[in-house]
Amino acid sequence: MRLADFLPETTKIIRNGQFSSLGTLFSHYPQQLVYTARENDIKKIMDNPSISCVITTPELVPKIPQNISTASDPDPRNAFYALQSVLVQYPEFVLQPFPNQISPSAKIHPSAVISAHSVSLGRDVVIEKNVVIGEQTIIDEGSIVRSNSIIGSFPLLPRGAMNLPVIHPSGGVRLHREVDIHANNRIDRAIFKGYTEIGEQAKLDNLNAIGQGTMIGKRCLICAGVTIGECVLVGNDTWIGPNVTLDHQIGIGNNSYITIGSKVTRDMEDNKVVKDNYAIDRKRFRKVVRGM
Amino acid sequence: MILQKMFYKLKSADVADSWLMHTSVMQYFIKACLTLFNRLAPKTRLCQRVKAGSLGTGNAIHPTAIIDYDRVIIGDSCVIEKKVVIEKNTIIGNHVTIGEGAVIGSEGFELRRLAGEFIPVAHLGGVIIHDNVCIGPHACVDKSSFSEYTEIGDSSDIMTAVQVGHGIKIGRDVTVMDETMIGGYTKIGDRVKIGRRCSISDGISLSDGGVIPDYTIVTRELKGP
Repeated sequence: MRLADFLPETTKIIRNGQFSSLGTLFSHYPQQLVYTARENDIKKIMDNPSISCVITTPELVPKIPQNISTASDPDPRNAFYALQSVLVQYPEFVLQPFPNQISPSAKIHPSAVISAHSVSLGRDVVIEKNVVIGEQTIIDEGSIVRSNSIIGSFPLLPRGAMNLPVIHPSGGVRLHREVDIHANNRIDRAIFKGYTEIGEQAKLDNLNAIGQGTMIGKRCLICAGVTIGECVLVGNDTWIGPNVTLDHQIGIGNNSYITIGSKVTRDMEDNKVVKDNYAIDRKRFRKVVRGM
Repeated sequence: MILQKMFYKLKSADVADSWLMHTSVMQYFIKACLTLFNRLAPKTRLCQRVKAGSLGTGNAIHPTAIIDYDRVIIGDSCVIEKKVVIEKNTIIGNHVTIGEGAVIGSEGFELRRLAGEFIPVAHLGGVIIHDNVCIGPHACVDKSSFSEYTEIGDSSDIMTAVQVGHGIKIGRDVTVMDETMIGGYTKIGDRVKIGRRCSISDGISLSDGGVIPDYTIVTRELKGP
C-alpha cells in the first residue's frame, strides 16, 4: 500500500512510501504507519525499526529521518484515524474472524454475554456475572474477569474537525496468563489490526478504563479508577495508584511507581517514582515543596 | 481469629521488613501457605459470614439484578436497579437504594508479592449496608478480608462510580460524590462530605464532620472538621 493512495486531500505528502500495517510508536508490526504530534516522539520513531511511514505536523517534518516516508497534517491524529476508516474495508488490515474456542474447564456465568465468533477462552478462565466479551478477544489460561466488566468494548475516539464517521475497530483484546480484571472495568478493542494487551499476572482493580491499542506489561498492579489513554505502553512490574490518568501514546518504564491521583502526560523512564498533577519525579517534587 | 492475627502480624512493618521474611526459604513457605489458604478457606462453612439468606417485604428488585439469595440478607423497602450484582455475605438494611450496574461484595484488591509472583489474598468477609443508604450507579463496594465487614453507615450517600475498597468503615450521614476512590481499611467518621473525583489513600482515618473538596488527594489522617 502506498501512502499517497489513501490519505485525505488535506494531508500533504512529503515523502511517499510503502506501508503494510497501522500501529503505535511502541508496537512492532511490519512496515507500520504511525502518527505523532510531539517532538519527544522523534527519538522513539528513530529507535523503532518497524516504522516505515509517519504522519506528523508541518513543524516536525524536518526532524523526521530521511529514510521514513512522511506526510504532514495540522491534526495528524485525525488524519491517521481517517486513513483507518478507509483501510477497514481491506481484509489485510482487519483481524480475520474465527469460530469460538472455549476450553471445557472455563467457568462462564449464564448472565455473561460472549460474542458469537472470534473469542478464545483458555483453561480455567472464570467469567463472572454480566460480563460482556466482544469479538476478537483472546483470554489465556487462569485469567478472571469479574462482574459487569466489558472486554473488547467499542472504542470511541474524538472525531475532531474532520467529522469522521464512527470507526469500526479491526483489532482485538488479548489478556495473557493469570490476569485478574475486577468489577466494572472497560478494555477497548484496538482500532487497527493488533491487540490491546494486558501482560501476564497483571491485576486490575475496579472501575478502570483501558484505551485502544494499549499494552500493559507483566505483573503490573493497577488500582481503582485509573484511566489509560489510547496506545500507551506500560512496562513490567509497574504500580499505578488510584485515580491516575495516563495521556495517550506515552511510554511508562519498567518497575515504575505512579502515586495516587497523578496525571502523567510525558514518557517515564525505568525505576521512576512520579507524583502529583502533572506528575513529576518525586525527588524534584520534594525540592519544589521545600523551596516554597 | 488466629489466622487473622497471624496475617496482620505478617503485614506489620517490623515483620514484613525483617531479613528473615526476605529469605527465599521463607518466601516460598509463605507462598505455599497462602496458596493453600486461598484454595481451602472459601470452601469451608466456618468462613461463611451469612449462614442463610432472607428477603424483607416491599422490595423492588429488577429481574436483571443478580443476587446470591442463599447468602444475602435484604431488609424491607429496598430498591435494587438493573444489572446490580450482590455477592454472598452481604447484609442490607431497610430503605436502601442501589443504582444500575453496582457491584456489592466483590473481591478486594489485596496481593502479596512472594517469590517473584503475585498471590492474591482470598477475601472471606462481607459487606454491611445500613438503613437509608443510597448507592449510585456503577459503584463498587468490596468485601473485607477474614471475618470483618465493609460497612456503610445509616443515611449515607455513595454516588456514581465510587470505589469503596475492602474493610472500609463509613459512618452515618456521609456523602461521597462521583468517581471518588477510597483505599482499603480506611475509616471515615460521621457527617463527612467528600467531593468529586477525590482519591483517599488506604489505611487512614477521617474524623467526624470533615469536608474534602473536589479533586483532593488525601494521603494522611484528617483530625477535626
